[in-house]
Amino acid sequence: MKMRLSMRRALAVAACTALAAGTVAACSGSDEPQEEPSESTPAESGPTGDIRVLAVEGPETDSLATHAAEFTEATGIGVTVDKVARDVWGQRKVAELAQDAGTYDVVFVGGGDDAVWLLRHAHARDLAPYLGDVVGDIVNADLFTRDDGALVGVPQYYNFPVVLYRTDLFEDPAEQAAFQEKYHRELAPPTTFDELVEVAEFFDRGPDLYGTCLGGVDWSVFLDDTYFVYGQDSNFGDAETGALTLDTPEHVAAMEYIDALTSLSAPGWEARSFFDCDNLMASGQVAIYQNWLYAWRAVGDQMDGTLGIAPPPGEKTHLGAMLATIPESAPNPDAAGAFVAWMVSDEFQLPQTAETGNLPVLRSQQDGAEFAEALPELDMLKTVASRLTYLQTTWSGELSSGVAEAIAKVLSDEMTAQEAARWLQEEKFAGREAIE
Amino acid sequence: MSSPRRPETRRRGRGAPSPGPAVVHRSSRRRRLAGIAFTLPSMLFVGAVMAYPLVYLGYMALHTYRPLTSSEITPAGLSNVTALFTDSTVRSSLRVTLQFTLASVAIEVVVGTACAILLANVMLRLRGRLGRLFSRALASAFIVPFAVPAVAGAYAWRMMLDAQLGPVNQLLGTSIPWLVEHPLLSIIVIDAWKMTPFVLFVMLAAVMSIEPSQYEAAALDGAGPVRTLFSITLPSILPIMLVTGAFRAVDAFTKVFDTVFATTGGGPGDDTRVLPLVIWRTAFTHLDFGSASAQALLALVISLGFGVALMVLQRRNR
Repeated sequence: MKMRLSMRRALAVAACTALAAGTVAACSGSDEPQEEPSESTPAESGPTGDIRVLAVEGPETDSLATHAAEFTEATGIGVTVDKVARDVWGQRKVAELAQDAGTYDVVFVGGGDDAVWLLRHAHARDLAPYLGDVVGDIVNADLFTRDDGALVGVPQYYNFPVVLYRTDLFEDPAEQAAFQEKYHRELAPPTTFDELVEVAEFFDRGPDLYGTCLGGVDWSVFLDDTYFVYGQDSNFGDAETGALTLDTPEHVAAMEYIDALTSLSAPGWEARSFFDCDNLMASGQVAIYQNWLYAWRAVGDQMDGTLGIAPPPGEKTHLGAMLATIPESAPNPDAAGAFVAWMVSDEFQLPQTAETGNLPVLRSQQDGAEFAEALPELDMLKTVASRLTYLQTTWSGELSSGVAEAIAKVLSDEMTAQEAARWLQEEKFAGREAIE
Repeated sequence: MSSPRRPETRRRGRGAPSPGPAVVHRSSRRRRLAGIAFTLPSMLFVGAVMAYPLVYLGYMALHTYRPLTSSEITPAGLSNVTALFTDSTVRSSLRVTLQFTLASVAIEVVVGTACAILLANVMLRLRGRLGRLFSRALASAFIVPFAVPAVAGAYAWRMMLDAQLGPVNQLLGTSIPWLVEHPLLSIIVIDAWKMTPFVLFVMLAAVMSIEPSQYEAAALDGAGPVRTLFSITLPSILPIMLVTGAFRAVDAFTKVFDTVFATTGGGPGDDTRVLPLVIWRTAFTHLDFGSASAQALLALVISLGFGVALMVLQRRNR
């Protein structure tokens, strides 16, 4: 009996130990040695293998993923596009470009929010060797070129805020006459923010029609804030000194514009984003609003030709583009370089323009007849492409939350715009630099 | 003549010679060692899974790690911890989270207990196969909100509370944007809807375990249903109510993230910005892991406080 018990006990201990060891082994990471990043220039015989791409979910990424099959067919390089939610994308791009995770070959970053961080901190490769002469043809290439001359990001497309308005209202003779009488000028798409407020006031006739639509959720209202800040040729940081510039008169004015326009928005704006504004515009409840270029197609297709488009008011506007980068730790940088080169070529840019309504990235494409046919508004949009700017800080996520918090204080009458701007600069982000 | 000698027998049980103290000691020691050997692998695993993250959390709370700025983890002393007391965002989120916890737990306990008492009455009165079937079906219906995934339920409520198209407003004949004008109330209601069944079934078990003889004695003494409720039922289940409430408080304080994320996103303003949401945002949007770790430790300390209250209540009930 003693012998049987000992045998049983021994078997049980062995089983438990094996289970524990197996669990620990399963939970531990891969021990496969990581390959050292290659320093080679593009191979003359052509790159091979597969690549993995990190991109945020959205229509532009859908277009990229769809057409990537054509790239694979032409080159034999397999492409896997990981379309991830914005929050996951935020963590992963930092993991790839700052922590050298080495999972992805191509990592997309936000051109409007991440460019300065990309230039200052990211471990990204120079894309010029992969692009050759095309580099000189990339619009705004200097914005994504480091001090050492390396071109570290290439836009997939160009996108920016535009003004979208109800043409049936603007072209109505009775409306035109009434507007002329009240404001002593012609009813036309606004060229300044004061004109935007006037037009929104004029058409504010709730509950059937509201003057405008602003999204109140924090990330959406921050984007609205950038329209007004950039439009006044200001920014959130000083690129030269690296200092934060949140309490300038332009920031105060931006918050006041938002305060004025939210009072002319449909009720419930506090919980809305600009995507919700698209739905309201499509249902005819909004007269005029600002949104990204994608909405021109997405909303316009639902409005039977009653949606008009105009350049955004102000001096400058928010550069919207996803920038393709190749991390220094990319497993297959040569194949990634070939993919980026294909991405800026006509083979992809033309169908992307037709599908998404965004601007192509090369000067020759923006001047091309084929692209003009795909995008009838191209001439007007080119004028905007020349006045794009981006956030001059390296920590956009935290900044956008703080700015949204300040705007909420203004909108709830807890603080004036001036007090909120000072609070941001001297309390919320006391001691912080724009470039950290 | 001597009496015949009884053959020597070795008998077990009473009167049998007991093993010596050395034998007993060796046997119990062996059993103890065997017990430790069998449980050691799982204890090591659980310890690693639970202890390592906590230790690392404490380590990160005393360091600065912002990968957007630098890949280095640098010592920060107590700055992340002291920032908790000066950061208005954290203070505000604590206030909101405590308000949410107290209100939703109070609703869950009161409504859950009331439903449990009513359900118990129905189940005890129904007889026969059909009656038992009906009472089981009724009880099963109550579990549905608890079984629905939290995010799915939150999105469903978001649609139901819509100002223009939501059935809640249509039923009430109003067009109130509930998630905008009454955001905290909305998430309290959503959470109470989800978790009341949990309280209900705990309290149902407590009610069903009350001795029927107490009710019989009360009936003989002429006590009515109200008197019986306040003199027998509630006093009997009060300890369980308190323990359940404390348990729910720990849960509500630390796990309210998904409902808020899916409905209000913490807004409007900071009206529903609960502490778990602040922690998530600090870590994964701001990428400030040191501050987020300090905030997570704060949440842990507060929920430990609820846990200690739970243990004190349990000891008192023994």
